[in-house]
Amino acid sequence: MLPDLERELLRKCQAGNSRFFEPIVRAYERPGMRIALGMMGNPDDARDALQNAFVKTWQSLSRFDLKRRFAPWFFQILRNQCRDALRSRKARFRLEALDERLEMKPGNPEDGPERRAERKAAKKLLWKGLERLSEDHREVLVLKEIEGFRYGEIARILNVPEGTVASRLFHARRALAEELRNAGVTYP
Amino acid sequence: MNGEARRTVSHEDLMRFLDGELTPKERAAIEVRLADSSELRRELAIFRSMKEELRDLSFVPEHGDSVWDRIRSRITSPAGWALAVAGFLGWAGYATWSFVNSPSAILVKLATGAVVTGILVLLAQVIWDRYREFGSDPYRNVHR
Repeated sequence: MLPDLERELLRKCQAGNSRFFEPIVRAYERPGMRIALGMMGNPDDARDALQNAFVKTWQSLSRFDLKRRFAPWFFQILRNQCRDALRSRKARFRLEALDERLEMKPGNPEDGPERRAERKAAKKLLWKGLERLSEDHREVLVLKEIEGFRYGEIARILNVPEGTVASRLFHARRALAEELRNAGVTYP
Repeated sequence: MNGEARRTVSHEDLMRFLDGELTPKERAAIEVRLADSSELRRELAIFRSMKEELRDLSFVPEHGDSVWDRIRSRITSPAGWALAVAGFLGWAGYATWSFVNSPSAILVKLATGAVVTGILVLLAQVIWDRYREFGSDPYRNVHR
């Protein structure tokens, strides 16, 4: 969405007109769902966290400074919702058969059934590895690898310096490599 | 030489190198150190391999499954409730004031007042019980 258009929509939302919130929701629900799913581990809890984040965003919009960028602010709210949900034990990070409910990134169409089965098994191992990481490590990996944010954006979302993002990424990657090794994955 | 080169590249710089967050000059400096350290090259290769696998894990939610409908009802219903409650209180206040100042007999007023008060007390009791149960209701987030 164009920044000027987004700012105009947010200004109208701040005036209390909820129908201008719909394009904002539609623009951010897909990246939001990817992040929530990465953090929560299952589609139902991810959807709940995403809905709560949008409602919270709407309720806090009057305090939002239109000179700031909306995306990091919204993703920060979403991240807090995910963490709150995980801590309240309503929804613990749990592994589910994601490909039954979600459209996975398409693989190479030339892959045979054997290669597809290998890819599926590798993905399952990765999810299991992510599941075992701490919240701090999992969220920084989700923001970097699944959503592809730059360090500056991650720093704004997590409210930490960029150096901390780099350091956290190092430890998260090392922890994930360790988990994968324990699961039998070998690296050259 | 290997150990020395490893020590001169911080964890943070290694990550910035991997994620393309360095300037060309900083990249060139790390590449020199990489050429000197097989340990560093091995670690970087592991991280690169994992990065590609994680990118492959990326997914997109189902098409046409927007959360907007539920959000709309949640953000508009508080305003609806506020209007309904304010309107009801205004109407009830006006009705009470009109009734009290009407020429009806005092006994009729007392009896009517007792009936209305009784109904309101019972209603408040039901609402209060429901509110207390809501906090511990394990099915409150279950949707059809």
